[in-house]
Amino acid sequence: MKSAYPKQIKPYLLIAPALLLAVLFSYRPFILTLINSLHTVSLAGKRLSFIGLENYTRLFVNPSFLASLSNTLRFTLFFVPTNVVICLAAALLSNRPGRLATLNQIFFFLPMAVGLSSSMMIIKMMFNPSIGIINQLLGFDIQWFNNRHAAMTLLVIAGVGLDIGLDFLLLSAALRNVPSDLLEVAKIEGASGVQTFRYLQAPLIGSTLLFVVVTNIKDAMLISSPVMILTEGGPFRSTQTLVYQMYLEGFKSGNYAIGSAIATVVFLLTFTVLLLLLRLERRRVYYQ
Amino acid sequence: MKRTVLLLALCLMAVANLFALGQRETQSSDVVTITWWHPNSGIAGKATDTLIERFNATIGKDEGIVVTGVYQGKANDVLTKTKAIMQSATTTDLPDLVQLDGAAVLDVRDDKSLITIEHLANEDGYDLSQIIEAARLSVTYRERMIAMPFNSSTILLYYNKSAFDEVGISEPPKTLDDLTQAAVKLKQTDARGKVTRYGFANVPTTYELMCWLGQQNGLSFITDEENGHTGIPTRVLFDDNGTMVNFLNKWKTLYATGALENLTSDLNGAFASGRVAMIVASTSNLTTIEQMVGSRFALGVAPFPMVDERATGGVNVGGGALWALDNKSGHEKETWQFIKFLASAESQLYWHIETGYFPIHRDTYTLEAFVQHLSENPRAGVAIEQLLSSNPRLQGIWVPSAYQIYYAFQSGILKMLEEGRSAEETSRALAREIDGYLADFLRMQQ
Repeated sequence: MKSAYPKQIKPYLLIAPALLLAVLFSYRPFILTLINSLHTVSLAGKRLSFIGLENYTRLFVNPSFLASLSNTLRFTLFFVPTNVVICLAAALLSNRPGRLATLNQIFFFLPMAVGLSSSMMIIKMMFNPSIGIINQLLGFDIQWFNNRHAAMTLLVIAGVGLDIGLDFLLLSAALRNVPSDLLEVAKIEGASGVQTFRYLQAPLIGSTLLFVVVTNIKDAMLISSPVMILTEGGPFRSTQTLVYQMYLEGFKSGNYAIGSAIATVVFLLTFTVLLLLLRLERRRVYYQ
Repeated sequence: MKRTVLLLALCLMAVANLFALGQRETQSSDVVTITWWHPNSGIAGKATDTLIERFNATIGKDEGIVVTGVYQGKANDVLTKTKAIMQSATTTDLPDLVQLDGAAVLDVRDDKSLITIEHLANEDGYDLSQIIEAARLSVTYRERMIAMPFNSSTILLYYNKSAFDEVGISEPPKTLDDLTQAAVKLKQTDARGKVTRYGFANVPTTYELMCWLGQQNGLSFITDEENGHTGIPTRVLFDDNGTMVNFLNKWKTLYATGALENLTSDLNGAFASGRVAMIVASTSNLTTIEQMVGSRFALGVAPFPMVDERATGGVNVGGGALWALDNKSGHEKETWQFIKFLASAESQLYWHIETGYFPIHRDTYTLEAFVQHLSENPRAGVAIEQLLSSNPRLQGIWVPSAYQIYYAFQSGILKMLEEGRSAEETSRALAREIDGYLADFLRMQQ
């Protein structure tokens, strides 16, 4: 009995630090945000009066918020397929033995080792319309930061640059875990590369692929830091995303109530999309 | 059991950074240290350090005051850090003096730890009319001067003089109509019809609109409460008084010529490369633009163009100011000594020559060295003449949600140009959106 007591308490003790941090820095702010979004909040962060859903109704008639909503959805729509295709292609192409393949793998993985801010600053310089290397080298005359479509494209490029390292690593590892005897059998049977991928590799890396897609969607819905550094939401609000607007309202304008309402909307939106996706894919993905 | 204790110790170590471990600095009691947070780097940073050294070696030495300047990043970062301390319980960490730009006014002006310049000057019997009126009013809220203007600037028209000579324009444009005519002449296209040089590039920012709307009919206010200087604004006036529609109609005409490029970023670069023949920019960009243009073409500066002949209000003072804060150290008087030093005619002369920010002390303008400096640098003189002939009551708007309003203006005007909306419709839509932000802010008041 005497020795059983510490044994029972040990697991709780072990998760306590993590739980404490999670409660302190995730759950508590989350609940406070929910509560704030139903109140008017002063500049000093004090809740003034309960107003129900008024913050939300004000939000959904605000042209700025509607622009953010449409920008975020458009970004997700452009970014997720682009990123998944590029990462998957990179993983497939470098999935072969040999030293050069290893070199390729390092190249694809390396972007992960560069800090977000510095890589965004570099991209900003590279895409500068008058002195940037991209326009000079390719002979373009694209106003990357002044044209609405170009700015969105730039954001997608930046997003891929940010995510390629990790996604490549995950997909590469998954591809390597496809049993080599199965691949050999396919080869002997005369399966083409496309067939091998379609019927053998794709189903076997399905769970990883799903994970990559899910995290990509999450990243896309929550994108803000590249926006902050590269475009500041401009030109003409064309790259103002939901989380960036939340930052503007909450931190620049001190409008905590509206900021909280936006945060709640982003959460519900991302949560719904991911829930739907997981539900749809539950039966389709083969877990080894 | 041993392992559990060990684990607990490890966990505590892992979360050690959650607990404050600082300790209070001890100082000798005879010397008072004043901390100044500022965003000045590069040329302005060096000038800042020199001013501090000068103070410490003269007045500071006599009265036992040592000023330490702390570079806290860009203006925005300084505000973020100051705001964070103001909202926390321990305001003792605040600096004695902080330099913030116009966007900070709303965050700081009602804070408990703010010591107004009006109060400091009254205690000392200092005559505030030594500070030139336009600069003084730029930091006046409810008839009290709440800060000391320091890095003050206005806005100018920068033009490519070589291009002007090439197409035979002898004088820079005075009004938007003149500007439209000049822009048409300056526009160049290549054989395939692609524009190789635009006459003018701009998408009006809040600051430019402040001037273009405010200068109309001698003086027009953009929001009620005199642009927010006498209280919290509740609604915009530009739609009712027609100033926005008047401006937008001129702007539409300009855009219809095809000589206007809707450029929002890298304007200096586009201008210096010769792709754009005219831009408007802050006087604080003068040195940068001079360096970028180099000997590529002759650079000209002229007063900011007026909307029409009756828009005689001129331009307002922008830039930043010094705010005195109460950090419970009781060094109010010493801080004031230093503010007085920075605002003095001599310090302002040095600051102007080094950085190009215009002097805020009226006596600087009669100093011999200043007159000589102006005769050697006629471009600096244009900005000063323009400011001195402007209506001092034309002042910047103090409104919440500055970022949102900035983008509202830009995207609203772009929509008008690209989707062919009428000026009236655009003005109404802008008024509605900005009124919404003002209402949001009113709801945040206790």
